[in-house]
Amino acid sequence: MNWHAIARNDLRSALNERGVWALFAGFILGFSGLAALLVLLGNPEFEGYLSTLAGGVGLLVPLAGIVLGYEAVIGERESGTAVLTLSMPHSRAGMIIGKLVGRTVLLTAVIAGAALITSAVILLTYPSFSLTRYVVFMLLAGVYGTVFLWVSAALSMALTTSRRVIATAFGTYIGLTLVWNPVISLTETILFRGRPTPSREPESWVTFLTFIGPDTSFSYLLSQALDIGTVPAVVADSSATFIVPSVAVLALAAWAVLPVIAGYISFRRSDL
Amino acid sequence: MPPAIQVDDVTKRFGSFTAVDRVDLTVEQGEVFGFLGHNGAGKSTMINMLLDFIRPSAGTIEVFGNNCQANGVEARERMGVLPEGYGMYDGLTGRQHVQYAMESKGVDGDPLDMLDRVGITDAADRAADGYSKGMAQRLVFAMALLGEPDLLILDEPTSGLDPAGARAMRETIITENERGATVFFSSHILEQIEAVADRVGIMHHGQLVAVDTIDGLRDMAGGETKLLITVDNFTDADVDGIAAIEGVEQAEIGDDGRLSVTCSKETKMDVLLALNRRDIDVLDLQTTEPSLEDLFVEYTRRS
Repeated sequence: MNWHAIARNDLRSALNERGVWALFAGFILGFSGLAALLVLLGNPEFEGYLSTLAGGVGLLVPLAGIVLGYEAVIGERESGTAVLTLSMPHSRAGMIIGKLVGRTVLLTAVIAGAALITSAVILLTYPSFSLTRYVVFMLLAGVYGTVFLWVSAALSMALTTSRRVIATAFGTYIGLTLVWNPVISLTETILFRGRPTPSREPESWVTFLTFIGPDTSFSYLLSQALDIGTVPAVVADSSATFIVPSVAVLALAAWAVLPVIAGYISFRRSDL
Repeated sequence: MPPAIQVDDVTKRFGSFTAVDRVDLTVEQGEVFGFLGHNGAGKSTMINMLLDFIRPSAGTIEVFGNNCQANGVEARERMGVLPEGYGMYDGLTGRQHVQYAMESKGVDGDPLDMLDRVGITDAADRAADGYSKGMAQRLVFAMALLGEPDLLILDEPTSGLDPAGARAMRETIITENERGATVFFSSHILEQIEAVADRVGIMHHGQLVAVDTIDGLRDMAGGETKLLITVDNFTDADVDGIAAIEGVEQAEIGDDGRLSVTCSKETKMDVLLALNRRDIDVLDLQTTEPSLEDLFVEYTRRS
């Protein structure tokens, strides 16, 4: 399987896309802009910077993942470049792996590049800086963004028009980041309306579903690793045994991989 | 030695529309096979099944013994393809496109050599999405030729090319065939197929209505020759006399006053000798052979 040729070509092509450079500029502006803003407000603290950034990263990095992922396959199908690629000795699995690797490297490079530039700003203007904590933070952000990138790439494999892919990808983004937890608590409220709750501990399925939502899994890992960010009370106050980092990692991995498997099966079956 | 292409009873339906209807076809190694048919006759559908872009509703397709669906990668490892409906990668140059093909096929070398071969060296470092149709066609042809494939699959290869470009491509096809490559190419233009193909298959409404050599098809078109003869003077009796010659199907005086004789190829001289015997001078003579075009029209007019 010759997927690295596809990954390399994908990266080469991405370097010519204005959108990718705009995204990179956006990240530099976001990361460094926040650092500069704290300096302007006086008394910049590295820990304060990380905590503030955590909120923004939770919304913006997944969005970047969605943006980089949604064209992965549908873009090639609609432009006809998939015809070029698949008329060579590439399998559809190879094409998907190549595209996923290419785009993931791209997202990682965008985050790493912006982080590197911002670290210079911080080193020059902040009294303290922890390289380890900074790197762990960016690493987690990268993993979180990759989850959304793979979800949107999976939609890009399964659906047959880019309009549908864009609509569902952004719908999924909003659903997973903003709507997931409210829907669970709303469901809980409807199901148990009027019934007095015997204990303060919520139903364990409520805790579980909240916990495995990618947003909560990510903020839980962030709080465990760096002690920053906010975790929903349902999870933070829970004594459930499944509230451990390994389950959060597993949940994120499942969010990334399961849609891709489904997307691949659909793409493999369909006519080009 | 397995055939280069083996198509067994292949049907492809899109909903209620049958694009390819129970096609059987064998292309032997070393052949140049022309695949002729109007646009929409099912040629590209057939080729897209060879490439596993789409899957047959029934039947099997093999390339050098590899099933194109189950072992598509192995099948395509032996192919160089100029497909239909391709697009160029945004912003990548012609050189980068060839480089991508080299990496994909595991071929070493300088991309420029390939671009040289198809005559677009000057455009090597320009973004290929800005190429004209003809240049794009040459670029993808260069990508197809990489790595000396055993089978060239070319879908309407000369579309978008000017006559000189089309001739250069035909010459390359012949060179590749002499190197040992089997060539399978489709066209809706008969002359292009006639110029290089050993055998021809005619697709019509999804069916393969004829497969034969060019000569075989020509024979099928009938051995009839039409003579248009300008003579100084003749009478109706002369016309009847000519019509009476064995092998002459019809003799008449055309609207332009010329004598028009339809006869078998072998009878041509007999007609001229008969005119000579009757002391009729032949001032001018024009013959028309039956063309493949006529046959093609005849095949595709049916049904």
